[in-house]
Amino acid sequence: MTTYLIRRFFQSIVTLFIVSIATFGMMHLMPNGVARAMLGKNYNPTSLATLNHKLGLDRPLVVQYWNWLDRLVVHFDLGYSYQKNQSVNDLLKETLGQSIYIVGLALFFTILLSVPLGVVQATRRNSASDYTITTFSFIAYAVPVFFLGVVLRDLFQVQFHVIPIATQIDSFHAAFSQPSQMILPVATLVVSGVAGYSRYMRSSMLDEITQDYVRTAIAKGATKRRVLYGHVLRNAMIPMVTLIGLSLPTLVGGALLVEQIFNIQGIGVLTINAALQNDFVIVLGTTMLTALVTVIGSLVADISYAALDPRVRLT
Amino acid sequence: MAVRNTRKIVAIAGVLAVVATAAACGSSKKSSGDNNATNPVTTATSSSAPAKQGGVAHVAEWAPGTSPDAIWPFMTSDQLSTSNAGQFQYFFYRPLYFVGLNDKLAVNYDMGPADKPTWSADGLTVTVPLKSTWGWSNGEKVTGQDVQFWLNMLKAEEKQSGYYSPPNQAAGVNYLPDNIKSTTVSDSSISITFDQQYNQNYIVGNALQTVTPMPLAWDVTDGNGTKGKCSTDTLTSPTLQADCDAVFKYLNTAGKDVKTFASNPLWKIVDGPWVLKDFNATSGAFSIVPNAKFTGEHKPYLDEVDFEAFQSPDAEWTSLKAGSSAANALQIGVYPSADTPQYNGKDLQAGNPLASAGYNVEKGALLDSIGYYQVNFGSKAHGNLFKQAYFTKALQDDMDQQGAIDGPYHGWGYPTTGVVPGYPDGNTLSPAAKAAAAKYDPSEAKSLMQAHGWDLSTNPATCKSPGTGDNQCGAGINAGDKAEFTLEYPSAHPALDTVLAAYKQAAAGSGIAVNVVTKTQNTLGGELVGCSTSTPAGCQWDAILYGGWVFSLQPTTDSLLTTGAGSNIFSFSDPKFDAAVAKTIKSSDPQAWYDYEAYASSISLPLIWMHNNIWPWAVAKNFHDSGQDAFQGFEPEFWYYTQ
Repeated sequence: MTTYLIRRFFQSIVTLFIVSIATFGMMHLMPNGVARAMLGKNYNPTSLATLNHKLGLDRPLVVQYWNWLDRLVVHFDLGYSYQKNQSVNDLLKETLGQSIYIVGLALFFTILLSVPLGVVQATRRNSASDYTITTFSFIAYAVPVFFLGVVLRDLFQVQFHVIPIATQIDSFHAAFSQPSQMILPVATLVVSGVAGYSRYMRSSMLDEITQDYVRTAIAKGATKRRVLYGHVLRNAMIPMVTLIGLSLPTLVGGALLVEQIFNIQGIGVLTINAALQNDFVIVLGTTMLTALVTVIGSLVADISYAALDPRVRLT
Repeated sequence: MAVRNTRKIVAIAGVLAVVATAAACGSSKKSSGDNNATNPVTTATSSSAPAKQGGVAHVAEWAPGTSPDAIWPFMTSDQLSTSNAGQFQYFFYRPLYFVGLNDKLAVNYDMGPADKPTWSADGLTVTVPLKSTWGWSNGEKVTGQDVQFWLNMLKAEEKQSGYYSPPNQAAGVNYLPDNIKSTTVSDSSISITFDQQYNQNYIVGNALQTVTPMPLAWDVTDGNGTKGKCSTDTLTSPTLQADCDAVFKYLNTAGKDVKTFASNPLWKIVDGPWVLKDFNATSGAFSIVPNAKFTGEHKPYLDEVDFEAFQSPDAEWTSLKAGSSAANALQIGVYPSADTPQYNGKDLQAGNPLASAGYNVEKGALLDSIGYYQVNFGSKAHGNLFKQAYFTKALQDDMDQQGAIDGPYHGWGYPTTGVVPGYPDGNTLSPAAKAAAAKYDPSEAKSLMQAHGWDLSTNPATCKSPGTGDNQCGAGINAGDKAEFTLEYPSAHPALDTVLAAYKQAAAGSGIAVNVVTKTQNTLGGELVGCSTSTPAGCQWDAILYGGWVFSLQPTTDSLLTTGAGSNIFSFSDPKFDAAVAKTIKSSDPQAWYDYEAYASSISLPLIWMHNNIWPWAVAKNFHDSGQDAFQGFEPEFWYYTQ
């Protein structure tokens, strides 16, 4: 296990290093550079040179990368956005909260609903309830998140005024102090999430139900209920845990479409706007953060898998 | 200096102008050009019911995704934009002269701290009287020294400043502060002596309009209030650079610290009608409240205006659809292009999709602007083609501006007829320019190509008569060369897709293959550099639609088209044109404009005119909105709830 962890740690470092180089390189592929785009109509050779110098873009690419990496590794300083006039760390602090709030809540409710639905479908396979849930799952799965979000928003906020239109959710405080505003974005994500997760849970349960140990347990006189919830469900949850672990990056990646639809200034919107405005410092920062959490998430998933399933040995 | 605080936003505005729809109202009149354009008249339809004092208004920030990022009214090149200037800083800090109110191209002397200027007999010295009633919120008067402070800063920080333009040798003019020989300062005025005679309207409307007096309390070098010396120097002080450097460093840092916009005591010292109440650093949303000490003529009606930030036009549209009586409802928003009602000159409210939601349709401003896509005379592949006057004329003839306005833009727009905007009212338009106004005439385009040695039986047309004669293809074009080029334009704008698909088709009919390609706005911005040995990438692009150009009060193209001008990335150079531009800057004689326009319309310019948009505003029915000015700014002191 220790050997495995050490190996995975170094693999993660290499992965993050490659991601950083790739992202940094891509960000600098822009013809004539970021400063030119920032200047817009205010461009002239003097203003371009001045801004390039201010941004440190007149230095060799390797030097720029090294400086950025040095700040990141030594101080966990993700850099400074000259377009937003704020440090990326501050921007992340200001946007992560609402993204984690929404995605976290959505993930929580998704699991809360998916597991029982999956169990019901598996245990009552080919029944009316199975078909009904499956049908709804397929519909929910087929409907794109952006469409569902817009429909829910227009229905409940615009048509029937069940939930008031909010001004922008641009802080964690705003997200927390206006819980009604969180209902629709969370619901949008939950509906989409449940569709996938419940199907996954159903499959996982069905895989377990057909295992020999289930038949053995029942043959030994264990009640169906005890077998189902004492053994089958626990084992069926193992792949689900992996799935949840791999979903962790979405917490920091944000839910871009939902954030856009419901006017939430989360990390997803921050990243996409930064990409559109060639604010490569922010894109680098959010990309690295997402990569870091992805690496951690997959590691957590693997370790959890091993912890939950004695048959799995991490070497 | 034709630097209006709109340069950066023009890119956005120009493109949005092509992207978004705009509102106009009132009746229609025939264009003075040949294109039979229907031009929206610029009369406001906002409620004329009596004003109610007080109340809080919620207003959408003008363009989703753009918000102020600099509060100190001395912006660096990357900060210079209308989202910072006319839509933010001017609320608090007034430039000497305010222009463009009520969509009229004129100076509005009642809006700023300076009265009408007087000129010396020799035309070299202008005296700017400062209103005795105009003061700062800290109790001090606005004096000549405050103006000198700004000029000193400009002199010391030329390289940093977005307001600075280097001397224009082609036009034979210097810009602020290089064109100032000396200044004389008093409590009640500042006199500025220039290096030569200039068009006096140009000096007031283009140069002094950028100058914003700064309170002496800002002459500090650190957060402890250590006094600086920048405000007390003169332009020739030997220590000016060092004195102003220290102040610039501190104010520039403070001025872009979005987190402290609303809390920094420096920015509470205002002379405009408003003061910043709060500012959300993350979203850019902000609130303004009346400056209780404001001594100007137009005091605010409202108790507060909240400028709401939206991430997308769709989010804003949702808020509007919820109705003007909903909680946190917007009083002013913008119709997204897809939901813009068809313009109806007789009844602006006809087909208003927000009528039942409690909103009226109102027109946005007709900007003092020209819409265009730009061609690159320095393009390695096709520069020689663009230099031919007949070819750019053909390209223009294939551009159906009115079709674009009537079609994907639902009637909200006005054509660009030439180098000087025909709308809004106020510009000097020559008969020659009117006669040569851009028009849609594909058959003429075809004839021009045929008459200049192109074989239209091939696709695209090929040059069959190389040479420089009247009936030949032109200099640098060889036999067999194809009449084709690539036109890049911003992605994710369906209306533009429609316009340029039609253009491509029309051009094909003239034998010209226009290969249209979409890229993100910022990618296009990055590509837009001039062709030179140090910037070889500038020799690669053929044609780009990036955005139009919003002029200063005097619509001269010194910064855009003269040889070596900062924004002349087209490799365009014509000494006669330079001389004509120079006259418009140096002479107050209208004939200078006539000559300039006439010459400009006779040559191949690197700009193919496209229509300008007018923004369609949704304004709550119980709210009076004064609209934007002709330079994209807002004046919330004229907004109020109606009784």
